[in-house]
Amino acid sequence: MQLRELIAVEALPQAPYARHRSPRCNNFDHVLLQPRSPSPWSLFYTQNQPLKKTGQLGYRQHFCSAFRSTAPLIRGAASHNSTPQQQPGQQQHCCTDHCSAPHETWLNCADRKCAAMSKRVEEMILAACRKHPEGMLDTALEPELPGVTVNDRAEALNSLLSSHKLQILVNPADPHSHIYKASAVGDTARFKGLTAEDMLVYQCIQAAGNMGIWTRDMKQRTNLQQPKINKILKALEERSLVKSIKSVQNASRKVYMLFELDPAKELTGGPWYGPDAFDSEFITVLQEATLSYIKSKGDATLADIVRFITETGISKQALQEDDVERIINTLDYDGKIDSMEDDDDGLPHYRVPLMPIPDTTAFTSIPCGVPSAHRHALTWCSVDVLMALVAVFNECVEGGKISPESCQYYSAWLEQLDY
Amino acid sequence: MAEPPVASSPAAARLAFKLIEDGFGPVARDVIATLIEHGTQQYGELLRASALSAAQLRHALLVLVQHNCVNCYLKEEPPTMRGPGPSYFLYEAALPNILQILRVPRFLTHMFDEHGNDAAWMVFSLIEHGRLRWDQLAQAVREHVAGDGNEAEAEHADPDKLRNLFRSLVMERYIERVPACTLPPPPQQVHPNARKKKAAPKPGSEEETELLRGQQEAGVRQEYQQVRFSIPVELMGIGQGSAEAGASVKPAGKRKRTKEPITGGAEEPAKKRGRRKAGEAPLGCAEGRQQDEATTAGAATEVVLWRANYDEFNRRFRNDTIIRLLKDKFSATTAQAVEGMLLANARYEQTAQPAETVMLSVNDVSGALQRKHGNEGVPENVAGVLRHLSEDGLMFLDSCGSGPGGEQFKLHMPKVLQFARLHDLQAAIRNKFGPHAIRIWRLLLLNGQMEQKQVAELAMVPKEEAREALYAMLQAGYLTLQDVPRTNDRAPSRTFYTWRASSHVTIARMANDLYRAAGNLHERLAHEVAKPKPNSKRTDALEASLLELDTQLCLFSDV
Repeated sequence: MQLRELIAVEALPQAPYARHRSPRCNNFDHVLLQPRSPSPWSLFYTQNQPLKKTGQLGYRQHFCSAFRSTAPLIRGAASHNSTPQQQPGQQQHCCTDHCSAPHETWLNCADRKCAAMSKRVEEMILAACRKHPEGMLDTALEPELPGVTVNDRAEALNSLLSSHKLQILVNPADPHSHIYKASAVGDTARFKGLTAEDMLVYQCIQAAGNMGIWTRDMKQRTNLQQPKINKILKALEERSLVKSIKSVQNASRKVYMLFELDPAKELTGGPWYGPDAFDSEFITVLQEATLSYIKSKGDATLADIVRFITETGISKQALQEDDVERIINTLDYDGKIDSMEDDDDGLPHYRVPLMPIPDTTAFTSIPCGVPSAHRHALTWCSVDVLMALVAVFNECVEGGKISPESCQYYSAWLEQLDY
Repeated sequence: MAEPPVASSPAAARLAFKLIEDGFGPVARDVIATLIEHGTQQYGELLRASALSAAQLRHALLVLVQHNCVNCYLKEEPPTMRGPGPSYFLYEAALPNILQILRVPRFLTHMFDEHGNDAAWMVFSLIEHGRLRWDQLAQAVREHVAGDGNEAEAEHADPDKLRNLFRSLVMERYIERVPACTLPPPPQQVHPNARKKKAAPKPGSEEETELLRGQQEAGVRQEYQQVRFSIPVELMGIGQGSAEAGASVKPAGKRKRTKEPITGGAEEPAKKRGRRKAGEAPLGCAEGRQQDEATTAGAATEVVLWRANYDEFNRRFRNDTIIRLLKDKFSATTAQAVEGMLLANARYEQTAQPAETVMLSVNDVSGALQRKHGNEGVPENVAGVLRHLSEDGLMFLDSCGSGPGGEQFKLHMPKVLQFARLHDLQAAIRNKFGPHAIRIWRLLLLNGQMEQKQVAELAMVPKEEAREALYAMLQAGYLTLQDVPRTNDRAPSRTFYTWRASSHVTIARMANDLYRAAGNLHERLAHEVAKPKPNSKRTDALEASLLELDTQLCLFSDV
């Protein structure tokens, strides 16, 4: 009879993903599988799927109602050995040692017992993982959980993974295995309510590190549609889990990265980029300071200049030697300093040039050469006119619309000489 | 090998037209324009191309040839089976000489500072008239001196003094003999990339004949070079007929000069005369030519025309530029030592654009300085100064070991001049395109080819500013852009564009811009002068600007 009843139980409609059932725990709402493969991605497809309602009755109700009908038979089969005699009119108790409520059914009591056991196992797993912050293999976890069956452990692990208290990662030492790692405190709350797709996108962004990832790359990796990705990103941004950064290399692209990370230098352009754009003023200030230091010293090396900039505190961010060298190179390109290698130490020394580029020459003192003195002083024409001078120089021809005889720039220049 | 600067750009031609029209009128301008447009031409071709009347063309040509604005050559075609080939005269516009008209005030100022008032009048007379005989020159100088209000001085002037002055100017190469109109035309200049290596021609072939003819023509030109600065006997100031007077005065130098024959064909041995056949001149023998001239002239003295040698003036200006640059870059002592090298090298120079000096020892340098400035003008440690300069990274000076006169050195003049040109060029770029542009230009010059993004990054300027500066300089011709396509269709999205700065290209462009600006200045000056009431302040300012611009042109184009 017992076998028949068991067969009847087996004949009940199965949950789509349920394969392992605890013989004692009857709550199938949260039955989760052990992972089919070591890949962590598969978990997000296979677990945490809400059980689909089949018709009007949910699967739980359907099974439980069927189980309730057979439970007395099973209880009846087992009652010869251990169960106390039930008084007539009295409801059956599953046990008497922990049930305080006299009116609890056996089923509810069993559920609570299973839940408590599961919770205990989860705590044991979390404690073990916290002892090993680098992560634990499944084989290493087993000895830490004495008396816990495989199924219990699997269920507890699945529960912890679904509640984001535990992470499953590919073992860096052996890519074919995986390790469990306890999540940081607070992560649970942060990731609460996120779906598997959300987590997929989040982990994709996490993998990109401080370089960030473009939405198109996300689409390729996750195989999700662009609108879906945009929706997920919006949700993640609202939760302050990720942020978007504009790259200086491609201003039209927005890359996403974790909220707490600082973007890489390649994205931000280093110390030369302000919150919005290229910080020319900062560079100019650094150049002037460097030039005045070299002029005062007469001879300076890169280390001297770096020390000077650090001590004066011109820059709020710490500038590396490479950054300062770039500033010095711009001064060299401007012709304001000369760089020479010293024979004694072999390092480049920076000095003021003996022959600086002249401010003006014969060519630049006539309108055809666009005199710089007038460019800055704006004594006889505006900046726009000066820029136009360069353009009309090649079009100037005798008898033409633009000609030396009728040139307004020459006229203005000569009028200035009159005064 | 130094690349000789060529003033043959359209802007230079435009300026030349203005100068010719100013000095000689519109007809001469048309002749020069035709010669520049069509190249070297015969008289008939010129007549057809210029659309002028024969009389006009003849007069204009005579004037232009007189003033050395047009060169005249005799082209002799090779002999044919029927007999000797035809010969005809070719006319060529001497563009470099025409452009020197702008520099005349500077020539005169230099001459006045170096040799005094009479020397300046002498050079002025030669420039004014183009070419003169000695007696005409002397007369012109006397008239000018008298015109200065020094009539008494002009009347009682010692003729030998003027002759001595003239001799010294010839020996210093400020004045040269006018080449004969029978010189062959210069050889065609072939670009180095177009020169093909040819095997030695076979004996008796047409190529060999061509080669021999070319060598003969080169020999004739060389003859002129040998007598270019030789002084005729009558200007020696010693009685005619003496053997010593027969020797022409040679400027000191290693080049051997053939002795001029004694004037008066009567003294020539009859045997020699008889040996020679009519119409024949021995190869490379100046004696032969001059004997012919003496024979035909009979007892008359050789007619020699003299003119101002612009090359020598430009050479002096070049030396001044080098000395000034080294004084600013290094020290006054270094500049003095290099001045000695340039003085010692003077007698070895053939043109104003040599590649480098000959090997000069410390003794040569010290000697040259001593002759010029006396003992005080010689620095203490010439060898040390020159050695220090030779060790500098700019490599203006090369050390060539030791010799009998001490350590020997060679000066690379093109390098020094290139440095001076780059110096001026950078100022022009900065003023024209802004401070970021000069930074970008120097960055590209130092680093070679780069993409626009790399340029903006290294120059530390915003991308937009870098792009504007790059394209502005590209439009002006100061930068070049090269595309490196990844696909055959050269689609812009699949092509790399790299920027490059070349000093030679940019300097040539700058020279063109200078000529253009000079033309504009000249035009504006003409316009201001032509006004009913010209403003003297304005005209003076324009003239002064033109002179200063010409100084810069000299550096970029003529040295």
